Amino acid sequence: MTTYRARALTASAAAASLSLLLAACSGGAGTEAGARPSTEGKVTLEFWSWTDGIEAQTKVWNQRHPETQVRFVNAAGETVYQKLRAAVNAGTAPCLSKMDGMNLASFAADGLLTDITRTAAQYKERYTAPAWNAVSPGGATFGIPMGSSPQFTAYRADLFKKYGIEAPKTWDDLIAAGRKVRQQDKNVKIFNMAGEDPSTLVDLSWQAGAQWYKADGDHWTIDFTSPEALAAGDVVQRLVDDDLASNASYADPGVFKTWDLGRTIAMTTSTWQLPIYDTNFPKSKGKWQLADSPVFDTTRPRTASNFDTTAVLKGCKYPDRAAQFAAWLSSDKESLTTLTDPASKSGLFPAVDDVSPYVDKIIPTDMFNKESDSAPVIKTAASRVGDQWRYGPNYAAMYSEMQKQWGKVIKKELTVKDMLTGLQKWTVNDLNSKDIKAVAGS
Amino acid sequence: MPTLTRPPAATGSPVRRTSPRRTGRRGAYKGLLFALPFLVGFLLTYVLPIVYAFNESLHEKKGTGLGFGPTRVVFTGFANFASVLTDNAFWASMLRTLFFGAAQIAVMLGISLVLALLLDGVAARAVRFFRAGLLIPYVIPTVVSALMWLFLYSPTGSPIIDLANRAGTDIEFFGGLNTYLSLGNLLTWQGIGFNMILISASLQALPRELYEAARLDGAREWRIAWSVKVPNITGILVLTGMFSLIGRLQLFAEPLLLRQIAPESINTDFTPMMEIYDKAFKTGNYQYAAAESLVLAVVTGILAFVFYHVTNRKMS
Repeated sequence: MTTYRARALTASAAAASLSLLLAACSGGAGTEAGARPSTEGKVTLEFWSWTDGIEAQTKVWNQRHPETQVRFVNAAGETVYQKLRAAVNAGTAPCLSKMDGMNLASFAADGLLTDITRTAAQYKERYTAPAWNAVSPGGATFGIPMGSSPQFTAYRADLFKKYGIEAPKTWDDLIAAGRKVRQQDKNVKIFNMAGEDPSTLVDLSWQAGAQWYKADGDHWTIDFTSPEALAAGDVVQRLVDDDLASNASYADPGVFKTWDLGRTIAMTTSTWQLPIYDTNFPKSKGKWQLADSPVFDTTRPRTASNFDTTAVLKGCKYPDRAAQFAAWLSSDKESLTTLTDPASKSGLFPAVDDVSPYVDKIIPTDMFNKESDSAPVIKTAASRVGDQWRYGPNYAAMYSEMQKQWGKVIKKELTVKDMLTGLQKWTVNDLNSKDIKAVAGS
Repeated sequence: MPTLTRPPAATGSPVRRTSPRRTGRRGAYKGLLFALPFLVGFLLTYVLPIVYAFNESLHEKKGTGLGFGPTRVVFTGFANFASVLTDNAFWASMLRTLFFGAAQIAVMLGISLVLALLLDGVAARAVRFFRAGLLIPYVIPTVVSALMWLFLYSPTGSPIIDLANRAGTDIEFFGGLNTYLSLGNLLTWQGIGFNMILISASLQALPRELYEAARLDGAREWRIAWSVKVPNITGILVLTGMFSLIGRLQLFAEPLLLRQIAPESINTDFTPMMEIYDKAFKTGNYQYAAAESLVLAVVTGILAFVFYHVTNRKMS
């Protein structure tokens, strides 16, 4: 593959639009475009995952596709990503592995994945645009989307009633509601922000329409201080300043008591959590209600979502078959029907455009009161995931840097704005030190 | 280790010196053969990884294009070390660990010493019981005991906080000085028994005639403890102190686990080892982490050397 700079030169020479160029060049040598031979004969692929129910699906695939046998390896464990890295370096990596979007980006940045842009293009239409973004950081595709977890809000309807507040439509509403609650009981909070977990800010920025990383031709534009990004930061700042959020750590074994006992009365939640409401909230069963996630701009409502992917690792000999299997697993109607059934325990929510066939059965109805519009809320969330968000090549390092400062923000030792300004500078410098061109956006 | 001058062996010269030189060389050869398993292990698990880490630390990973293309690792000399030396967060974590360690080790060894002295004064049967009992925290795996304290400290599930709330007060285990007290308590709890055993063993090795002499001179038990026992076991105190100091500089699992319930108070760069772990396994910057590890090893080595020599000189 030629370097990007060379490609950019070609671009200006041909006066072609960037997106066209990216699409044309990222798949491999230009002459082979479209004519890449697919694998013939019987092959066996190894696949690492740690999602319940996937192994059974793999068996179904193997029965129907004798020419592509998939060997499933349950790779559950804290150190799975480290093991994968080691395996790629040792040349013993599986062909496919489950991976979250953030790790897919950092594996791709470290050159540990196979570029499957060309062979994967045929499956693109099956998935939502933000899901495809998650497997295509920087434009080239390195995997197939597996599932999504669009965000919405769950709140304690009984306590909302008690404090006389309604489900917030915007983040301003949420802050106003939080203040109203605080006036009545200063120990009750509207929201939670964990001290180790800046993902709250990531989600808010995604919802606000911010683009921390934006690919602009041959360089990245890094923008942590755009009006949208600062609007997201401002929400966090107000929650911190007015003591409207509890700070239960998500790693604390007792974290869910915070809501179960009514000390915090609303939270951002997603599809993957629904199957465990039963275990997490034994005391508040039937008192919950779902609502759309609060938005920044009611005319452009967006929400955020994490994506689960199936990445194709470096050294995979049959990327075409790998992509074919991964796409079947996460888009075939029958496969999705099995996997989204609570009996499979996968907790999977599809990343496909039409999720309506899969919504009803994932809702634990006895957890919610009768007024809860659970199904429409989930469908709405799936349909309004912001498609502007991208993970940059040093996202993991930036996230770790942000994590260090986030604790200070929660302790009121640092403002969100100062943190964002610092992160912008840090990210640009870090990218440039790795010979990746980046400029500050604003 | 400074010990009492024992009565010299009655008569006769040492026998081993008399063996001829020729067999000595053969002996050395044989000795090497016996030491081989150790040497091979030492080479494979210590020397090689250090050489590898040093080599890594002289490189940096660079990207191409937008950063999602192939990567290359380039030689950058001591650039990583230059960054580490000016990395405020890294040195802050080092100082934090040192100051905290100094205070915590003093308390821990103090308690261990008192307990060892008490044990030395009571009947043998009781000694066995207490020694075994106090050693239990040491026998429990670090992670298990850290988890146990984690549950006791947890702001959402702690029975201690619950009891305090019922009594109408509020306890916070983290934030400011409390963070260090909570962590110190955990480490002290883990370490008392082990250090006590070492001190206690060294006390038992003291000749009983000394006490008899002191008693004849009219010394009471506490006087014997302070003026006869303690001065004669400073060697083991220095040794345990040094081991503890090295242990503190490598502090990792306990704060990492407690971070789960106190992320605002225990940051990812709370100790040098946590920072190195974060760089290597969260950020994927092995080269920088290798440089940090080597700097930490050198600092630890220097400190251990200085500590040992200063305290040894004081004693003699």
